[in-house]
Amino acid sequence: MELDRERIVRAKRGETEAQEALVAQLAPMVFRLASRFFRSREDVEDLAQEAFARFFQKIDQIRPDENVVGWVSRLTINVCYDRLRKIQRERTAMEAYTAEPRYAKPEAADDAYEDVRAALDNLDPKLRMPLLLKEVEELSVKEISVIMGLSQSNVKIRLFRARKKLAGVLENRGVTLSGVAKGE
Amino acid sequence: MNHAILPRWFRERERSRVFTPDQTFARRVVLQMRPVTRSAGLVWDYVPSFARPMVAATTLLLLALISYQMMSPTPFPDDSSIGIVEAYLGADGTTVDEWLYRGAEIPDGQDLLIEISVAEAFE
Repeated sequence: MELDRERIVRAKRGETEAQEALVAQLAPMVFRLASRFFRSREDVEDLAQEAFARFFQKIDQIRPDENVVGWVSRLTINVCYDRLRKIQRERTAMEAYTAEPRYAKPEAADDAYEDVRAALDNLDPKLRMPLLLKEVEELSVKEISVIMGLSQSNVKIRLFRARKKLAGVLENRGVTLSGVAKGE
Repeated sequence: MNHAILPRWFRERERSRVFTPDQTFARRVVLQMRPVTRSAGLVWDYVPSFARPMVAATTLLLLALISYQMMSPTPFPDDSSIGIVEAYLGADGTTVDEWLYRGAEIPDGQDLLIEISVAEAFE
């Protein structure tokens, strides 16, 4: 995606028209990334708004040679990560006071999809995010390392742990991956 | 070699689950942003948050002093050699106050003792 440098400069100066055009151009990418980690439209939109709020707060730090698209991707991932951590903390606190099972089986028609989805939702965000970026978004390890601000070896370790943990979680739920993988 | 743990059908379904921004999204974001952009140049924004209560208290104190000075019945002395304390005491000061604060000439010996005892008798 190529961004008009002139538009960025005008957005920095506070020109509303340029800011609006910049948001319109970057929003689909931000929405796509946020959709990987959140399931409702409201959550995704809320996250995108927060990401753009941070973007405009820091727009003065953008250097002329900066990869703005990469910068916004990183920012979006950071916002998603912060939100997922918050949700995880709240969930842990709730579970400490209620007797609800950690992996309640959803009453959905498509059990296999919901099983995998729920298992993913219960993975630690620091493992879930690289896994989804790698397997669903099909980003390379290098791209994930840049977008998450990690070393490539760290990404590889997280991917390994995520896969191992996910297999374990699905097994605990009585779902084997070969059984889930319809048509594979 | 593909190490993917997630089944292909799941990955494809997830890939197709993408929300897109509506027509008004960009406008809403910028409208929400406007107050932040507008206040960015204010002096207050450059004061670190930990120092703000102290700066606010100091500013209020200064404003209170200035308004008190403006409305005070004791005007600022015209003579620059007379300070605010002298001007305040000048209205109903004693002889001793005169010696202490206004630099009046102090009498010698016996006269000084008489002056002091007279001043103490009146207080």
